[in-house]
Amino acid sequence: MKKNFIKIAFVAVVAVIAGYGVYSSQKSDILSDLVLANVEALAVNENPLCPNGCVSNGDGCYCNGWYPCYQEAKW
Amino acid sequence: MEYIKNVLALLLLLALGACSNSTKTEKYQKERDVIANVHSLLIEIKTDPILIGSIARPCVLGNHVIIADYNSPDRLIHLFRKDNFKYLGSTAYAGQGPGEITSMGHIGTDENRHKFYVSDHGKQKIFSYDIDSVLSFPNYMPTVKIEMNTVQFPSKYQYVNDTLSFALAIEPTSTSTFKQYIAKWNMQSGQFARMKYQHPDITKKRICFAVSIENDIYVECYTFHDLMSICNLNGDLICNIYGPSWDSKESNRVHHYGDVIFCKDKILASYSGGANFSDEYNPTKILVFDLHGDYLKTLDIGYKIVDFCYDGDNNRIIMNLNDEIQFAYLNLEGLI
Repeated sequence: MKKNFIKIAFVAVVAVIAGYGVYSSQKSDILSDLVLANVEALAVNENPLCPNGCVSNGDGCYCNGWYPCYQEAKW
Repeated sequence: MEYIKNVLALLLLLALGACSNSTKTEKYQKERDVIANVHSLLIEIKTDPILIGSIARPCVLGNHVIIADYNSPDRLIHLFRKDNFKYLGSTAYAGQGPGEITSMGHIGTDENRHKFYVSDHGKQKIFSYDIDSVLSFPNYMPTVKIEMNTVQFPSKYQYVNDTLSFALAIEPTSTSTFKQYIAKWNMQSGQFARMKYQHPDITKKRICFAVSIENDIYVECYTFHDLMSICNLNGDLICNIYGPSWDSKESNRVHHYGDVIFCKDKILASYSGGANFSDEYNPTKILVFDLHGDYLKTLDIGYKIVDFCYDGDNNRIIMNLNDEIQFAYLNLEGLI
């Protein structure tokens, strides 16, 4: 009975550690994608705070706030 | 027989009238070919010792020229003398601290009180600066003129008094879309009264505008349509002026009007007509119209115009250019 309990506990601990490992690796992928997107956005002078694409040089663009010197992307 | 002749003559007249699609309120201008090359008449303005970024907007207040320097990492507002463009000082530090500006928007001017108002779209406030105090005290702190809200706010406005401004109102419709329209704006109460005229064929309105209190009219020029509308200050349409490239398509691929101002009894509008996301974005010419919207001439500036304003005392326009020279003025005496 005691041996079974230790086995189950061991499997549970391994499962938790493995699960956390997968979760954290996915999280870092998302983060690196975001960072990459921002770097790309900066490279073409886009506003990194605006995922829908405010581009530089314009009379205003709205994306979770007003950006007076940007303009909307193509529509 | 005589009767039939008269009827035929009347029908002919009607048919001839129908050949033109211009009516009293709908004016179609197929050609705008009176070109005046004014490139060599521009006089450069040196802003030494201040370096100013590429996105800068000039405006006039009393004896001063204010230049809003949107990309400055330091101070965002620079002041110059209007007569000789001598540099006087700078204010409005960029930042999030007290009295600093996080995201600078429009600069409003109050000639009677010698104040200018700086919109901060980060803090959602409009700050008030007393121009004489700014020049006297290096550590001048602005006061809060009003708090803006996020549901409806002015992106630009022409200040008349505390209870009346004419504003280009922004009304967000989602996290990344918005409606834009001209409204009478009461700064004190925060209320916007939308001007009633809306062009029936425009589905997505993006405009610049100017107001002439003396002439009781305002003009709105469409950024992505070859269209200009003139209305009275009650919001009634006086006329629509359609240019040679007019269509009602919903697209921002072509950049039409850049900015518009009144110069006494004329309307001056910068016009590009080129591809929006390209080198052709900035207009290089200014179209001149009378107050009825009739085309008079084109001023070929020959430099890329970022923004411009009117200096009424000296009858000249002051321009920010994205070209070989950054700032210049053009005397309008005898030109328009």
